[in-house]
Amino acid sequence: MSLITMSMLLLTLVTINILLVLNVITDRAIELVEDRIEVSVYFYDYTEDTTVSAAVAYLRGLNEVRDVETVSAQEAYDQFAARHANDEEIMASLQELGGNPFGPSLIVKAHSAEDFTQIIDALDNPQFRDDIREKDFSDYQNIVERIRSTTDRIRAFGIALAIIFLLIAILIVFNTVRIGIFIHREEIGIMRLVGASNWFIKAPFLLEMIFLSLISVGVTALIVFPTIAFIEPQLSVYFGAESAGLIDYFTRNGLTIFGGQFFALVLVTLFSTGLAMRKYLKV
Amino acid sequence: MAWSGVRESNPRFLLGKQVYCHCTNPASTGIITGKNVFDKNRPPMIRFKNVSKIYPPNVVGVEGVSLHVKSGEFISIVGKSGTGKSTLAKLLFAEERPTRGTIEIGGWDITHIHDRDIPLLRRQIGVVFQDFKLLQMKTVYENIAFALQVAGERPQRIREVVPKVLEIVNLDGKLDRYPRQLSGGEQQRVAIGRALVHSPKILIADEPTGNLDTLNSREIMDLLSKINEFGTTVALVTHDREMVNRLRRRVITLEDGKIVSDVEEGRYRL
Repeated sequence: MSLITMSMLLLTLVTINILLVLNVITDRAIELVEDRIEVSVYFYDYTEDTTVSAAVAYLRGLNEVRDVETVSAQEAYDQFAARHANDEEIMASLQELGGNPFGPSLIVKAHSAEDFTQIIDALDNPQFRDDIREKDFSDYQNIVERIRSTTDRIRAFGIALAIIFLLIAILIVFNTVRIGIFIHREEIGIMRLVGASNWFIKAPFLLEMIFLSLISVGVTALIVFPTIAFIEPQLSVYFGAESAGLIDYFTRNGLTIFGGQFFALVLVTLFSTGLAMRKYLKV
Repeated sequence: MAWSGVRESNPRFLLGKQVYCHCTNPASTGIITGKNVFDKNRPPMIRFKNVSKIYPPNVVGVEGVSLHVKSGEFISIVGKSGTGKSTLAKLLFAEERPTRGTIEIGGWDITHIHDRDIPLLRRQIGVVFQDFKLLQMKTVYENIAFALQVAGERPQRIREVVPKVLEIVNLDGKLDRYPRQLSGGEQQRVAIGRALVHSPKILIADEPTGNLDTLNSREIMDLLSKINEFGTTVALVTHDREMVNRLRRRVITLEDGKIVSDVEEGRYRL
């Protein structure tokens, strides 16, 4: 019976930790995407440097802007030439044009995807609006929202699953205690007869549940750490050189995570044990 | 009287607490206290004042029972089956609460005893049943030690007290036996030993010879008499005519939940 109880507690804890892993991965993915959010602003080739500098100063003054990088017309030309050095046709066309067809450009980085709209709107400033040839941006907010909505759906499912497991665990703990009281009814009767205090009679049931909670959390930790150690390298496909930060997160917060789970589990199991004792243990 | 380490202002702490502190038992066991010289002027150890116990819907357990039992007395409560003998015993150790009336044990009014005080009461009243109520998975020693363990006694104290109790009940050679390896009489002696381990002022024996043959019954009755001689008030609930007549002690007869006779040196008359 204790094995079944522990299995249910274990399932609940594993589900909760899967949710936690998912949370860490999502946050890291969004962080990486947000880190790449940028708007490229291309000015006409005739734009004065003062106009570009004014635009830079203006943009840097916005709270939504994290950084502004300036690419001069010459740098733009050099970068284009370097990128297409092996393409004879393009290089020939560039030669044919004679001068530098590129104007200066800015690379504007935002703090988060939500800031994106404000930055685009800010570029409509009449001070330099007419000098802007093109604003190029990817729809990062959409990407972030897609990540969020997918993970939110998985998280909602996980939470529902964890709640179901928790309810089953509560019922199983309740039943375990009920059966325990039934099995030990003779011993309990004798305890009462010889003057055992109520706590002396109740303590074994409460201690058993604390012990089961401790074992369950311990086994969960033993499952979680090797699993994330295995998963982390697999995630490099998505995160590239960056790490998903799972091992780091669980190592730094291990005591809080598993300590918190232990206390929460103890509260839940003791609540269930208390209900069962109240109903079946007449002391 | 030396009530060492006891809060004298509260009767609940006085009951049976002469234990281990002034022992003059010739057997030097330290469990049974001073020789009993029954004194009619002593205050009652058990006082029932117009006690009734009615079970729902309207079944009478006992009705209008008034009873005084002095400290050190040996009483036999007799009557046919279903006359309220066991109910009376259960009222004594708060297994049942009276519907009406008041009950005092050693000056402690237990009529409305709080649940948390029941263990305290039961550590001061020894109870023995017909079916022994021993733990089959524990040895004789462990069964007796169990009563002290549940009361939170120190292991050192348990190691001192249990062998003395085993000596009193004459089971010192069988401390490692399990109940199933003992005769009925021996099992009942273990139960008596367990009841004695807290040095109770009162020992309640509810049909202690009900499952025993005559020889074993006599042994048990002799043991109860011996316990009573050394100061413990004994309340024997029985319908064993021979044993009651052999005792020649106070006999209280119940009929339909009421006391119909209370004779100082009585015989079983029904």
